[in-house]
Amino acid sequence: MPDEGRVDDGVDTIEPIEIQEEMERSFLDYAMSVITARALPDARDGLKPVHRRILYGMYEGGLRPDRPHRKCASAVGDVMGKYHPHGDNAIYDALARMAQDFSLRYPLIDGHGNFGSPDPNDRPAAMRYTEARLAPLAMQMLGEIDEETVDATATYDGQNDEPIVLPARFPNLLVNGVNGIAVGMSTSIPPHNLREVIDAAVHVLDNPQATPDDLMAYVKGPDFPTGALLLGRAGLEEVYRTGRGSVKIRAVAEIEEGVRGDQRIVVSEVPYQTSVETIGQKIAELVNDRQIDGVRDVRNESSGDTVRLVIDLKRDANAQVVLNQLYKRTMMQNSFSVHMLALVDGVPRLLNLAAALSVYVGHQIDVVTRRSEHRLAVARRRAHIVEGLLRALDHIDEIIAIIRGSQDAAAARDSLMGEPFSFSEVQATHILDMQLRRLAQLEGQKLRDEQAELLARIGELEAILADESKLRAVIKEELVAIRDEFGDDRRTRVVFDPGDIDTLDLIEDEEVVVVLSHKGYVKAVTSDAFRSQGRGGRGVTGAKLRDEDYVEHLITTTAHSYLLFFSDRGRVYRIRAHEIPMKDRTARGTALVNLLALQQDERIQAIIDTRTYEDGAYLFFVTRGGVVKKTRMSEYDSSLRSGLIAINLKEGDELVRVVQTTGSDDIFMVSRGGMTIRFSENDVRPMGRATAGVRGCASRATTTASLAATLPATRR
Amino acid sequence: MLRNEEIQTLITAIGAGVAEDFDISKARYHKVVLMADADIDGSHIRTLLLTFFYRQLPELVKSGYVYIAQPPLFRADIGKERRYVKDEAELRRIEAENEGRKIEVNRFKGLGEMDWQELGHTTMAPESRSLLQVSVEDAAIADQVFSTLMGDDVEARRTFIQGNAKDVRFLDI
Repeated sequence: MPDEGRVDDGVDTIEPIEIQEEMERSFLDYAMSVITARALPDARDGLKPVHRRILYGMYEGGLRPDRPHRKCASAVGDVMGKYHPHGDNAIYDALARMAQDFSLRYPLIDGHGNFGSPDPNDRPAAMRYTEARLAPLAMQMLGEIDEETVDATATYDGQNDEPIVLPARFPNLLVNGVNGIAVGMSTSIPPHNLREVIDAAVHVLDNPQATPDDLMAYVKGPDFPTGALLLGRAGLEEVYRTGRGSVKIRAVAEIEEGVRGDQRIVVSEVPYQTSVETIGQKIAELVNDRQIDGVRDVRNESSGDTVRLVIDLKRDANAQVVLNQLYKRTMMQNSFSVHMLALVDGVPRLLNLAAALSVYVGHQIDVVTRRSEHRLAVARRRAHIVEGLLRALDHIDEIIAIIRGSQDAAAARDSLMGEPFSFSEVQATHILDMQLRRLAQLEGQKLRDEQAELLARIGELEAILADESKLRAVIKEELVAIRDEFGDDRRTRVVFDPGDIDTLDLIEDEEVVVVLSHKGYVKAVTSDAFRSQGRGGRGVTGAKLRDEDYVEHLITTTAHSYLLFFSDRGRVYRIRAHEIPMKDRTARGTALVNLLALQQDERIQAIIDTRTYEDGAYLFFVTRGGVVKKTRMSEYDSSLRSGLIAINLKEGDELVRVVQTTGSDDIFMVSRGGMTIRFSENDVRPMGRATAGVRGCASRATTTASLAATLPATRR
Repeated sequence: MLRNEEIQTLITAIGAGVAEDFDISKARYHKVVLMADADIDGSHIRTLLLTFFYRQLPELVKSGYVYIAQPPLFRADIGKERRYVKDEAELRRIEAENEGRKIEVNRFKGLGEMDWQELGHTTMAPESRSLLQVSVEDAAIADQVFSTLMGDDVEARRTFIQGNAKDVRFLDI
């Protein structure tokens, strides 16, 4: 085997190469090319090369918003032939994605025809069917590209030029986001709301030292084209401070009650990059494998732009439990990993929110500076010509004499360039090209007007170029104009993560009134909604309820307080008061099953609020059968959203009252028959949480306890 | 991976079995030439094929039966003379030698861009081709390179890329 140098093996020319050397070399070529020129976006315009080439190719090909749509195949062919020597499928996929309003928050291509749906089995029609042109917003990406705003480079075959970056007059990297897998690294940037990102960019223009936390005042979180809910702020802080992390997205689902008391879950928005079809199939799978109980049927009732997935539940199913299982086991809740990697000066860099925007602002300063320089040069050239024409008009008789006296055009030009006029060559040429109608009086005035205009323009541009604060003001003005023209409301709502401990920091601890009706409708109202009236006032409507419903529980508490809901079955559920949806004073409220994992026909008998589970406090339970139990309140201090046993009940017995006591109060118990008993609670020894309690009054079959009250020891 | 149809065909064609069953004496060819496009995707395919050979048919590589074809990257027309150029360094040398003359350069994106006579002449015909013979000098180093580049450890791969980013030969579009 050859060791070194060239070896003549018969006829072949053979050089040896060590396998690791060839591997390293080839791998490095591939990896670096994919990283720097294929899979990662430029931080300035947020585009990968293929996207940039499609937009530029369509722009050059005249597929602009004011022209008719043309076949995607022609755009793809154009882009492939001139700029992007790769597969047509890859180009068409990239083009179609930019036209999908469910993929891009702000589509850059205006498509006509079937561009598919979020369902992975529903792909766009073939490119010979679909048509496309640039969307108006894409013109803001390309805007002013003809004014030398960005550098260009020769294309792969040297036949054309292509821009290495687009002017990107809005922060596309954050606005539309991007996904890409390179070698050894990948990027995943979620889409954002245009208004919010532009506001943040404006803030960076004014405050170049802005921190990610400052900018989070504007950027509330990703804004996905498919809406849905974003859970919790804790994840967001990490994402925007470091550039990596993950956020939880959850479908919008509501538990509805049918006329016959049956329940169903209706999903109206699903997380980004998943589909109703995928979720529906997954649920069906889970039901078939008996991994999920309580689902009777799944129906996809989506149509057009409306998403609607209906999950019918079995009669005995606990809707909240089923919903939580769906969140856990299907794409109805999904984690979106963020890794904001983009190319800065050709090198991949992990960008936090502030870095991403400051790269963008730097690019805009560059673009507007170059545009101003270009415009200044154009204006100066024109002003020079106009000045020559005006001077010629002032001395038109002498000029004509010179021209008439010249042998040919070249001689005439030379004479004009000589004494006494000393016109420049450009001026002389224009004077010779001047039409006779320029001699009219009004034409002269027009030229003078143009000159004044040009001089003003030159002054303006010189001022912008000389003063960076003026330049920044121009950028700001133009960004705001784009925001006002193209901005829209956020689609993804940022809500509190039930498991997010930082939630309380973000909620005002205001006083609220919680109202629960007999039929289980609950709402929270700010206490301000009930203004004080004099004694004997008429009062105001506290809730508009359906027929036969009435307010059963009313409790004033504070937003941060825990509310313990005790049910007739002896179970307890805990939530924070702020988790109850705030409603108008007159609203009916939400069904309690949306908040608590209540079982079929389970009723709430008591609501206790507490902030701290203070020491020495007890809960005193009374059942229909006259059994009482006393338990330390602290026994109930655990996360009880899915419910927990509060008291063990005998068969047929039910919980009727729960009161808070100090440990040495007197208890009054009243039976349905009107019999009352008073005893010191010292007579009842404290017991654990899941115990049955002791006899509270001599119960006879006909008398059942129905009320209980306490007399605090201090008032005895 | 071994269920892949192309890989199956490859193993059958070589005829010496695979992995533990491999028997070098049964190899039907003593020159297995890898021929991929002269662009970065070609480089990628080459790394994948070399990994396959090294992991599954190591004896074939160690015996020096595996070669790499070197299709030209450029075609340079200097007046009436046509030259095929292997890399950018050679192209620059030719440009320097022929200063003042007009050189029309055409960059090959793939093997499919050449017609059969052209491909035969530049890459395949034994009289005019130039091959690289793959050798394994130090199995331990080779093993380590394969683990880093093709293994599951993304971190090691990234470190390698970052550490060697400057040595890259050419960047493709």
